[in-house]
Amino acid sequence: MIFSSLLFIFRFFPVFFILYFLAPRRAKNFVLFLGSLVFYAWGEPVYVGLMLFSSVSDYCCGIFLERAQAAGRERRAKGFLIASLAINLALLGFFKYADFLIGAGNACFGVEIPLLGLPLPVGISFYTFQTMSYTIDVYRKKTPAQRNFISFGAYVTMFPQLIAGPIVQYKSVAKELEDRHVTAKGLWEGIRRFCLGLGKKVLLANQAGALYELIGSRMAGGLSVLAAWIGILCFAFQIYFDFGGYSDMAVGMGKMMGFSFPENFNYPYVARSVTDFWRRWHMSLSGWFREYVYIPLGGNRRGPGRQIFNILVVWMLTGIWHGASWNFLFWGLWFGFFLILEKMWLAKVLERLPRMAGVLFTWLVVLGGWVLFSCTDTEQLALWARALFGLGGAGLWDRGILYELTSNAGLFVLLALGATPLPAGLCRRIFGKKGASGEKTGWRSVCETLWTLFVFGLSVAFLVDDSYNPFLYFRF
Amino acid sequence: MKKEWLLPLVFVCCMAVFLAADIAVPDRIFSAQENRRLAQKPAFSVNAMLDKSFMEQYEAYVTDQFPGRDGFIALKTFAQRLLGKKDVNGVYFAPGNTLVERHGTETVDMEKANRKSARMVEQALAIQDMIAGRVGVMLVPSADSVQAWRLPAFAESFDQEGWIDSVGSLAREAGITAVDAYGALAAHEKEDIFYGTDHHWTTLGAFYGYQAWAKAWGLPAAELTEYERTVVREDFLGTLQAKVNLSVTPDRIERFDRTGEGEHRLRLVYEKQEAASCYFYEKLQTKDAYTFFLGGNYPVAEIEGDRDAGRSIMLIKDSFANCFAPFLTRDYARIWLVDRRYYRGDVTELIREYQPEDVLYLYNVFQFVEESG
Repeated sequence: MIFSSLLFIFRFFPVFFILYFLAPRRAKNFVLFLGSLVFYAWGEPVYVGLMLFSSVSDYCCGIFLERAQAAGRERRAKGFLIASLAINLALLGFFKYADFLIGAGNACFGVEIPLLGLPLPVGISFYTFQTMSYTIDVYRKKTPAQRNFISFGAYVTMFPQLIAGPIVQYKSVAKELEDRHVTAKGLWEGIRRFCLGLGKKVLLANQAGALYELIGSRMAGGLSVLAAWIGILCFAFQIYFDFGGYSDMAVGMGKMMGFSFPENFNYPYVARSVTDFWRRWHMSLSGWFREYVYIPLGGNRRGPGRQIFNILVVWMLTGIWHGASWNFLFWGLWFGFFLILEKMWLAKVLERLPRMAGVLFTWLVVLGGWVLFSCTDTEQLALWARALFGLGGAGLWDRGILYELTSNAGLFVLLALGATPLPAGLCRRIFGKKGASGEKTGWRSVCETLWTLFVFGLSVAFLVDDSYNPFLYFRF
Repeated sequence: MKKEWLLPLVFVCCMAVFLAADIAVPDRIFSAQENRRLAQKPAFSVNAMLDKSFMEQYEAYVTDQFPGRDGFIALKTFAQRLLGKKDVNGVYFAPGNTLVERHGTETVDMEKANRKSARMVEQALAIQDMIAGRVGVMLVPSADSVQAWRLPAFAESFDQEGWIDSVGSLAREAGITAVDAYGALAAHEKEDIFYGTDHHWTTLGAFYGYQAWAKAWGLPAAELTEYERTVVREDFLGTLQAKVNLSVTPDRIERFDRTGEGEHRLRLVYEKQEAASCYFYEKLQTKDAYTFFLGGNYPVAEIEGDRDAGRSIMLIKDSFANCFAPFLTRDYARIWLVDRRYYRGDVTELIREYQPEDVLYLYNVFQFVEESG
């Protein structure tokens, strides 16, 4: 089930939330756990068992680990940590990377081991990363182990962030798992965030995505330079509004229930450098890698040589986290390369240049990254690269792209504006800052309500007549 | 009530109204607006759940039976138009608040199209040996090619003229008559030869097609002045309007009669029914008012013409022929209409049975390419 479907909005969520709202405080985690299982089983009726297995094993590892530490048996504790990590990585490795590794092995050694052809369980990359953060944090004594299996299960399977993030670290919601409330403020902010996220996905991402697919489908007949650049630009907007919209919806549903999930995006397309971009894009993933890979490897504390090595490791992992295929590995290394460049000298240069130069540079690097990201085979990649550099054999522009440009001019304006903080700034200017107590003025309340309903109604209209509503995260 | 509850309360009320409407409104079987069957509630079974087909069907069911579906579609197309979009759901917005069906350059699978035209010419040749008169091929273009002036700037369409030409020369080389409907319509591109809300040609367009046919057959051309034109409906909204569901300029449906021409009997061979006229006034008030002409499509139908016994023609056709066929009553005593979407048998069998003098293939380009069989 995806959030941007009438089924989710008008069947699953209302029923779930009424039950959740009516349930007594101590039963809320149970309702959340059960609801999440139903939600997941709807899309993955078989793999739901895998998720339960992962929950049970990490639940046990956490408790045993803590008990061993309390008894002063450090080696035994470490054993449980390694067991938990091994199980999670084995699940991920088997279901996500087996075919990739077999394929690579076949190519290297000239053997013919048949591929497994297993479909990837949706969300496995998200929930294995969450449970690993849990056992590591218990081991580091940053959080006590969860003794209540229902609470732990609710954390692992929590449907708002289960299939597309943000990656919520256990310690950041440990308190709220035990004590949280449905409040007017939470409902207000939650509904608003959910509706705006839905709008980003349905009104912006899907439209940009349809255009990207249309342009891509013309590749065979030769693509003009303008068409190629518009195409990859559409992909950049699609993936941002899609992913960002999903995160908004997750954060919004969390707020309705009384959780505060971490933010995942902060206007990445106005970043002034690649380093800045990654502080604004998919923040929960980069945060995870920083905390559980980069810093344990020594970060920047062991000299520049070691730091470069660490960056490359992190970005290779970040790359293949997005999908088991070579292009994602290169996509990660592409960013790793520019990040190292910026660490060495480029950041200082960018700082001295006008802001726009930095933004433009970042855009070029990011667009290059999206070309790598969007092409899973080298043939396709070569075609896109040729078209972008004017070797597509169709001139600088063509009639087809001029038509799409004129027909979608309004959409492009919305996409560009929506990716910047300008609309939010405009609202602040019109309505003024919130009062010291966070109280909204009556005028602002009315406008926010109307705007939320408007975006919601329009999104529903687009969903009713939906011919293009893809789910992008089946590779993650 | 404190104002911090405003948004949550309003939102919950809206949801409640929707859910109540969803429960209260009975499921529809068919959407007249979209002219298709709507998805129904699927039956549950463990197997259907495990292979996810139950989930897919249930999602389709919720979407299709959503309360206010038609209104939401209108809202979507309205918003897109407001944002400056020049085409929505395969339809261009054209001058005078009219619509034109969109056939982009990628619409047609050329290989399939050429295979079909080759097969048609082959069959036409076989028929040529069986009959005394002529076999002809007449492919009718759609508005987005003949009336390119109605399209937005830079719009590209499939090269209908080129493809019709190539089929025409293929036919001529084989000794089959090719009727140049394209040229005849293009000469009148500024007139109302296509509906502004429907994908069909108007009766006027069909008349120009009829002139082109007469020319190809070497017959004296009929003049427009010989016909009395009667508007039978002034507020027709056709298939293209249904795709956008917006308010557009309605169309007129016209009936053409030669001076002194009476009604012509229509006989439905398989249904074993007869009608006293080729025009069905009772269909004018239905959603699909184009069925005013002949009342719809049938496997095999027969029209009685005004010529002496003996002269007869068989049309192998689609719905574009429905407003065209009555013109042929001037030239034939009998006109058979065969629709391959409904008549699944062998056409040559029919030729042997009815022994028509002439045969004409009459299709719209896209209906020809997309028709199966």
